[in-house]
Amino acid sequence: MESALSGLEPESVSVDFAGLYESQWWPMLRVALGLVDDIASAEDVVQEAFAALYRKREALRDPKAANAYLRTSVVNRARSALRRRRTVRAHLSLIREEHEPPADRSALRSAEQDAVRRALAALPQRQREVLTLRFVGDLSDQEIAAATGLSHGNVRSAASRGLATIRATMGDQL
Amino acid sequence: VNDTHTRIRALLNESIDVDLGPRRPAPAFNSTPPVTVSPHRTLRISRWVIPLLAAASVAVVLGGTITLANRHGSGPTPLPPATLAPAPSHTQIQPPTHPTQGTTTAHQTSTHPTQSTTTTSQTPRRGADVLNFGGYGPVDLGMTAAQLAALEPNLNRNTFGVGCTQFFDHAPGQVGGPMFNVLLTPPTNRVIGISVPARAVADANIKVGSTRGQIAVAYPGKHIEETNSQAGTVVLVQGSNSWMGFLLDQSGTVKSMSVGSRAFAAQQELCVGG
Repeated sequence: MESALSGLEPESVSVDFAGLYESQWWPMLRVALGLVDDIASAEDVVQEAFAALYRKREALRDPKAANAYLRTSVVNRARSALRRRRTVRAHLSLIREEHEPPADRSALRSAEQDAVRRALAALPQRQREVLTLRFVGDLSDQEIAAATGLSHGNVRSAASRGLATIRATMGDQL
Repeated sequence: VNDTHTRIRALLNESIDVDLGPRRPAPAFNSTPPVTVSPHRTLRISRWVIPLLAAASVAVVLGGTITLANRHGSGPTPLPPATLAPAPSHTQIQPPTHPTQGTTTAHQTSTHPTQSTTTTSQTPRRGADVLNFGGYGPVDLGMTAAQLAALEPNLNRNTFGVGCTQFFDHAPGQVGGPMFNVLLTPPTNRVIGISVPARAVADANIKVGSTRGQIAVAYPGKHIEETNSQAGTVVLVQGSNSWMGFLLDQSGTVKSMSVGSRAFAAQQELCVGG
């Protein structure tokens, strides 16, 4: 398979970045999808995060630090995407234009899968981020704190509240 | 509890797997931000494009102003302030499209003065049909319902959602297109959003029919975002405390315009059903 980085000049790309892109693009996309809900926006978020990292590639020394940078970047860019979407929706509502939500794949999910995604999407943003990073990103509370800018205590609190809400929302479906 | 958490984790991951399908390799990497617009994607405008276009526009406007001055024999005599305002014109960006507008730019600007050209106390802060980051005509963001009712006593009024109020001048069932709507939300019951009728003119002469390029030129240095939606492309221009929104049609020209406060998006969600 041709490398995804084949279009770039070899000397301009560090091996670390290439490996990181190949290995982390998919996991980051999964996390981004949990944060923004539509695939196109998630792909944009991840592309932007890698592009930002690429611009800082000269400073890439520690793969763990690069991963942390990527996670933070994905979270921040997902926040921007959601904020932009809300603002657009508000403006369209004001001029009474129809604004259908982005197409999703909910029809393909089971009722339980769909219910958990809807419950997650309905959570306050902070709780949604924490649970997505914990369950989809498999991150520790410490890593979540670094990615979101929350304190360790706030991460635990957000996770606890978010889970309680999801449990209450889903009821017997769990 | 742990079983519940495990179940939630599993369902969440399964649902994402369903959405994304089988794992696929990373696409070809592009180190520059994406420029292709597909539904619900954003188009990022290079930070260099706007200043360059603005500089070019100002240069052309100044050149055109000098030419106009010379044509009218005014020689070195300064023109009135309104005609010196650096308002980019339509035809200076895309001359072939609207051949008659290039010579009327200065007149349009003076007809709809912007804040920077409004200098006397007798002149309204905005022209009657002028939209800017502060509001539209005499209607300001942040105005109370009583102030609005005093200013615009003939507007229709509707309450909906969780205490939201809408003042409007169109038929209650009208949807889409440019229209005058003013939205007020609780708890302060103040104006947070305004959409404007077709006659409105935004800062720097942006109006229905203007292009996205003209919007970029009109707001140099401002943060501009584009998002595609089912209704068309929405261009948002960020001011210090508000956003201006321009809905573009399929040809990329302005179809309708609005302005909303920073809290607009969050507050508007109280108004579901409007």
